[in-house]
Amino acid sequence: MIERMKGDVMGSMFIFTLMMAFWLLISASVHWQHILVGAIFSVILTVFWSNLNISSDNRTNFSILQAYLLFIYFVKLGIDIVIANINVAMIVLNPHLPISPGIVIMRCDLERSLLRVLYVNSITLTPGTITVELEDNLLIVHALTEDVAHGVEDWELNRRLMEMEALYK
Amino acid sequence: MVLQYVAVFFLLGGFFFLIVGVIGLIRLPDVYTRMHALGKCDTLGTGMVLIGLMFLVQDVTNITKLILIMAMIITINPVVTHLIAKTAYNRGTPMAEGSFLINDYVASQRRRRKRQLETNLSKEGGESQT
Repeated sequence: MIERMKGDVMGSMFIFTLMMAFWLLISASVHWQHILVGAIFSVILTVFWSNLNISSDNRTNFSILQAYLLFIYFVKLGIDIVIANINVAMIVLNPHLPISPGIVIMRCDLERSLLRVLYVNSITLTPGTITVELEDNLLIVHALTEDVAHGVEDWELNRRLMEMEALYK
Repeated sequence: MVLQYVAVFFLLGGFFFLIVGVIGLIRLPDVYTRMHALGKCDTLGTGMVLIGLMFLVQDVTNITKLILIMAMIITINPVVTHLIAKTAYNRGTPMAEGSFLINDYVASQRRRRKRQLETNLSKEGGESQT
């Protein structure tokens, strides 16, 4: 464990700082005893985590540009979630219940597992679609109305995720 | 004072969406459409209730805990929705009458191959010209 930490000092420092900031937010006091206890536990956790995600050959190459793109993505996702909820509310509260449900089978070109998870979760959270199955690059989506089903293919958030993946290559 | 009105707005909005989720659970015809109502309305409903509580407590430690609860709900809720729909689909649970099926897989694969071929051709053509 110690050797791995020596191999990646910056990563260990980063995790330590992250946990220390979290500790300060939770305890909300600057008494020296609080800070000492927090520092001790942060060091212990950093040492234990070092064999999980800190290694010099397997680091996450996460750049600032990607963080920025991810931030914009989450803002757009929040707006889409609100729109989705209003749509569902209008369908459910309509006395005629205007639904025409069905299944769409399509292709998912993303390869990084994090981006795949993001894509699938945002399909579930956005207007009229939930993910049913994702196997290799086969994506099965259940749509609540037929209009939505035709719009799943060219979707703005998908394009953003593809841009983010293109940065890795 | 203003903050309290904002908090009341968020709390009532959250309650409205939670009620819509429950009504959807009762009214919609089959498992998949019910997951539409629950998976979405629960996420935004609980999220709005938690935001309203954040305006009420006004305390860094408690706001941190509420933000953590919100992040967990937003990540766990779609995953569980997906799992229920996946299990139902793999067990062959019947859908509501008149459900459609669009198979876009082969068509999108063809479109993709065509695009790749075009880019390859344009690359080769550009190299031969220079």
